[in-house]
Amino acid sequence: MRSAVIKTRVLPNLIAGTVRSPIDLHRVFDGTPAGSADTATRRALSFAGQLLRFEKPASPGNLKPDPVVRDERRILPEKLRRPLIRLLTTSKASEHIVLAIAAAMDRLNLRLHPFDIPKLSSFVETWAAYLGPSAEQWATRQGESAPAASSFYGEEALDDKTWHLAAPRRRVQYIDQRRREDPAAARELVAAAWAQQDPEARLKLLTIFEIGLSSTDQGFLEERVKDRSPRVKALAGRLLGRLGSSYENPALAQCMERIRREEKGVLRKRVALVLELPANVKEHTAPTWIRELFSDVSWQEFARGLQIAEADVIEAGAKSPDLLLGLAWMATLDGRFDLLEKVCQRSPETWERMSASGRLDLTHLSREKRTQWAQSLTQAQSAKPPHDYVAWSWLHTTIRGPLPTKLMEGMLRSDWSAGLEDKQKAKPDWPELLAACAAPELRERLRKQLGDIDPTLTANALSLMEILDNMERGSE
Amino acid sequence: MAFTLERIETLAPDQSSVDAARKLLKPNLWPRLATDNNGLFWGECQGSGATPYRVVIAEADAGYKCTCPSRKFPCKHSLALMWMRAEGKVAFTAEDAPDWVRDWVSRRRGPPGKAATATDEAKPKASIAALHEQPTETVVDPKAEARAAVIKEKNRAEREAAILGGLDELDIWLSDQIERGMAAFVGQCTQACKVIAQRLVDAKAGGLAARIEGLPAKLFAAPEAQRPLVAIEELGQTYLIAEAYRRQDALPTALKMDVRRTVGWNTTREELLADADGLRVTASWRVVAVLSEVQPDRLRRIETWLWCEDSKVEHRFALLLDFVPVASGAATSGYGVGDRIQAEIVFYPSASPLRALIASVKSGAEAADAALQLPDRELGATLEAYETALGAQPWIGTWPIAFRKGQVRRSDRSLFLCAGAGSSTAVALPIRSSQWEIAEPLASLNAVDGIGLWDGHRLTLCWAETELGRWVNA
Repeated sequence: MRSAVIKTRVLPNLIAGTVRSPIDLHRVFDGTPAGSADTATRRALSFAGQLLRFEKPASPGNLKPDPVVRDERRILPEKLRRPLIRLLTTSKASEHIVLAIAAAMDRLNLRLHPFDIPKLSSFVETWAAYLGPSAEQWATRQGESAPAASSFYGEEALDDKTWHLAAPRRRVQYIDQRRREDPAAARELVAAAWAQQDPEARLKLLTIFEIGLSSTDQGFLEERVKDRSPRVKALAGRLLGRLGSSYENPALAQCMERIRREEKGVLRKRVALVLELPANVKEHTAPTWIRELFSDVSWQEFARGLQIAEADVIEAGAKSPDLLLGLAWMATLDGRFDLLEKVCQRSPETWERMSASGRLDLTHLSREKRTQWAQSLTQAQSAKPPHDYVAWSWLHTTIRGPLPTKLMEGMLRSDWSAGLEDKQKAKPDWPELLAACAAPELRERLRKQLGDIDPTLTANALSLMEILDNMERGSE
Repeated sequence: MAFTLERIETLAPDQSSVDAARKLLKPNLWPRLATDNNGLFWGECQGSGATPYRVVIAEADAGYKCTCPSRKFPCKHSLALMWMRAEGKVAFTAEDAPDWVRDWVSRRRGPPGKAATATDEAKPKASIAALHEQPTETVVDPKAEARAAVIKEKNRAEREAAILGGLDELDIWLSDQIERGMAAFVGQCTQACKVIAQRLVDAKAGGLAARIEGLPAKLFAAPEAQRPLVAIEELGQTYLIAEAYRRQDALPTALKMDVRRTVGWNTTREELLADADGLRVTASWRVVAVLSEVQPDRLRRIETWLWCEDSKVEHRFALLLDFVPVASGAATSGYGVGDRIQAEIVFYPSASPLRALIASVKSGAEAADAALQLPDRELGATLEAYETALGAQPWIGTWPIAFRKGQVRRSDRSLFLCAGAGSSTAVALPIRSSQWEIAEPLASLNAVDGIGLWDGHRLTLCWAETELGRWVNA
């Protein structure tokens, strides 16, 4: 029985059924087959099956390799691969641990081993921007038939012609750098590519205009005030306010409606400002309401609107904690950390109140700037920091790196671990958060303190510090 | 095999067991922790009851036993003891194994490790060895023995007759399916297979029944257009097995054993170990894959694939098969991918020897980082070896292949293993879809040397040595 005969005279009949399409057994077996017709048919089935087993699968014609992504980052040391996978996949690590790993890899210019990327898919998808071009490419290729390398460039490879093709975070980094070198050229680049940017990217790119902001940006910003995105529009308005242009910021007008201005003092009259909350704003919603009211107003235009000097605003609002919180928001968003520190000296609980208003995105600032901001915010409380998990968590999520050393030292001096094991449902939240927040020089001290706590609460924290130490040692 | 945290995680049935074990790491919960300094560790863990649970672990093969009533295997106490051993922070007192530990070791079916093969008189032997060494003091009743032999022979003859009866019914069933056609069979294969599988179970042809019961899953795993062809392949082989069984006396011994095992006759561990003519290979073996699959009978089939590091050995692959109840939670063997074992392996008699047992372990499994020294054979040549094995035993299932200079390449969303550039053969083996994501990083590399499991339709990539280091399917 030849294979050609099986293919043409047996297979089609077996598929269709021999009742409808009988097999010509004489032809197939070159004569009368031995045994009954049923037996011969089953033998034909067996021959056909065996023939198929020896068939090699057909090769598709369009086989090609995946494009190689240029990634200049160093691959994570071999000995860290397994502990990292264990920490991020099986140990229910908190978001702070995950964030600390991602931020450290970004800071130390490390990337995951290519074989580990699929194993850490959820981590990579969330933090791709921090993990280098190969992770970004992997995170964005889902659902596509094949990954494309053309949209992903190493940082060194970007130039004025290709910057708009890069991933959003890299685009922002590039414009940030160009803005520092040549503000006008950066503005031209952004203006040319503005229409292709999504609202989130437009907001981030516009935030960079705080760097080297000058009257030459006024025309560009006036265009942006007509943007479809309310957040972009509001930010453009705030930047225009800082330039002192004739643009009437609606947010400033709303702000002024809520400020009560008084004259106080007997011998020397001084201005006293009070922020009046609407009756329907309760205590727990006040921080969010204040943030919304002040976040689209710049410090300069606020001072101009009240007709007092910028430096006197804090003194004037000193008796109104709500106004001080608003001033803290303006100082933060204007990058005036000197003013923020003064506000916090007047109102030390500003940190906790700011944290009650939700997430804050300061990723447009450099790492150093973010740390400086955190220092200004927490300076007044660094000797005796509050044991408020939400505030600490918010601060770490915002600055995405180790917290100021003074603050951490203050925390480690305190009895932060008291009662941690007594509670019915003891959680590893605090140890993990502190491990993520601790600067390298404080880790040994924290490790000693964690040694006295139930190991079930500290396993992830200790593992994180071990990984971070090894990452840093490898990068020295 | 030194315990490591990775291995303990692999052994653990679920995450909650690991969490629970972590809580037991406090030494004050363990009034007793001891070792015989020869790979056995035991302890007593204070649980909720009055009597502490007795826990013993064997480092050689990750064996364990605990007296707690948990239905998870290993339980949290066993995991905690392994963990304490792995961390090395807690001291184990050196002492002789107590009776309950020796009793456990003597009853073990697992491979005798160092602890069990040492010459120390005080140490208990593994059950097989103990059986051989026990003096036969009991009085043998020749009549009773003869009666037992007659009954055994009668049972065997009855079973042979039942199987042949079942095979006749299988013939009728096959003819019915051929008449209806494979296109129609695919549409109602679940019910059709279930009926004949039950009949074959009644006829005591359990192996063949399981093969037919698993057929619908195989069909539905194939692309829709391919299903009638897969049905022809599988049913054709079923008929071939049935015919081979009927003519078994005319077959070579090895193939006869293959066909009998395929139909449902078992070769027991004791019989295999006692077979002096069996193929035995003593060498250094590497674990190249550990696969786990739940069968329709609620047993988990755990496959441990071994690669012989000695290039002079002809049969370089061995497959260890374990079956555990799904309810036990155990999902992996005691070995991890990459482990190296010095062991004597005995193969089940077969025309294409593959399935094997560990007869004795010369040294416990140790994690090894060294690259595999694969034979200098490209994918095309490897497939020829597969065809040779298929010729020797036409119904082989998954077959291991080792290749050099392969390339993983993409066609749309699918990945294929191809022969490298410059190869004379244009082979492209489709990689199993469940591996597409994890194998994707290989698709940008120029060449990979590796090991895979080929079932004639899809390749499960197990191991790859690449310019970026080792890739494993784990």
